[in-house]
Amino acid sequence: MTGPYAAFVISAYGIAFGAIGGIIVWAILDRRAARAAQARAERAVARASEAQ
Amino acid sequence: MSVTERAPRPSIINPGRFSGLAGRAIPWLSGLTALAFLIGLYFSLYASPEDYQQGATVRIMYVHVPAAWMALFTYVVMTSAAIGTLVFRHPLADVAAKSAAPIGAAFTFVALATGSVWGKPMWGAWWVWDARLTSMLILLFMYLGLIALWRAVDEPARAARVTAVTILIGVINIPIIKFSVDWWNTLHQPASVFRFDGPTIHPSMLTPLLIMAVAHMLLFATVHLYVMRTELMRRRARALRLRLVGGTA
Repeated sequence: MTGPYAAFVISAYGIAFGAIGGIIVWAILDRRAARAAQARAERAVARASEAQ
Repeated sequence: MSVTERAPRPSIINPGRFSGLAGRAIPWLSGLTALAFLIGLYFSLYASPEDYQQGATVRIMYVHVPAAWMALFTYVVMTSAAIGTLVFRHPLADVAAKSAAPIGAAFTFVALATGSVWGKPMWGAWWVWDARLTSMLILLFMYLGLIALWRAVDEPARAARVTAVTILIGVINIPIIKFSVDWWNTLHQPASVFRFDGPTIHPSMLTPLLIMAVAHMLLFATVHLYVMRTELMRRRARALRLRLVGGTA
């Protein structure tokens, strides 16, 4: 893409796809943290059940 | 079954069943989203004409307008979920509202930022305190405030009620955003697609705009389902921890 407005168009698409990429990366990292928290809780419950 | 027994919930609105169905839908939705964006980008950047007045900057419309539509749509989804929380007390309603807020904030940020980049060459300013821009900025603050409110209240049932009421109060901003360009004299152009007398935009530009709108809608559906499943996971972990503390393991 060339022309006097190319920088504005490229910047706008960069911002849009940067934000979309950002929300996808956040969702994946958040899933990992939640999965780890759930696994920890399940292990703790299993240990407590065995101890009783 | 006696008349006093509670009828089983329809399977789709049972959180466990929902999570399974969402897990199967997400890969298909992800593929469709990627395909829609590829087609949309081809039309937006190559197969659509430049505007006779705005030149190539009209291509910013294909990311700016769908993001703005989705910013409003996401808030409408959250409002429906808030009603589900307050009226029907459905466990998935708060999960749906909470999961939609960061996505809505991202769409609102994209609409504001790309609008600013479009405004500089067309209006000569990155920002003006115009009714449409200001009401969209308020929407961004509302999303951020709601995210903070969910995090500030520890007890999920209380957080659900407080945020649901706040969402319902904030919904007044949605018609203000939509009609701001009609009610006030603004720099922002009036609606050119959703009009009673039909779109005023040429089909060569309307086609890529609608394809990009579908792509953004699919993106929302995919990410929303994904984040909802994560939130259900987090709530299950919390329930397990509470069970442990309560000594019922």
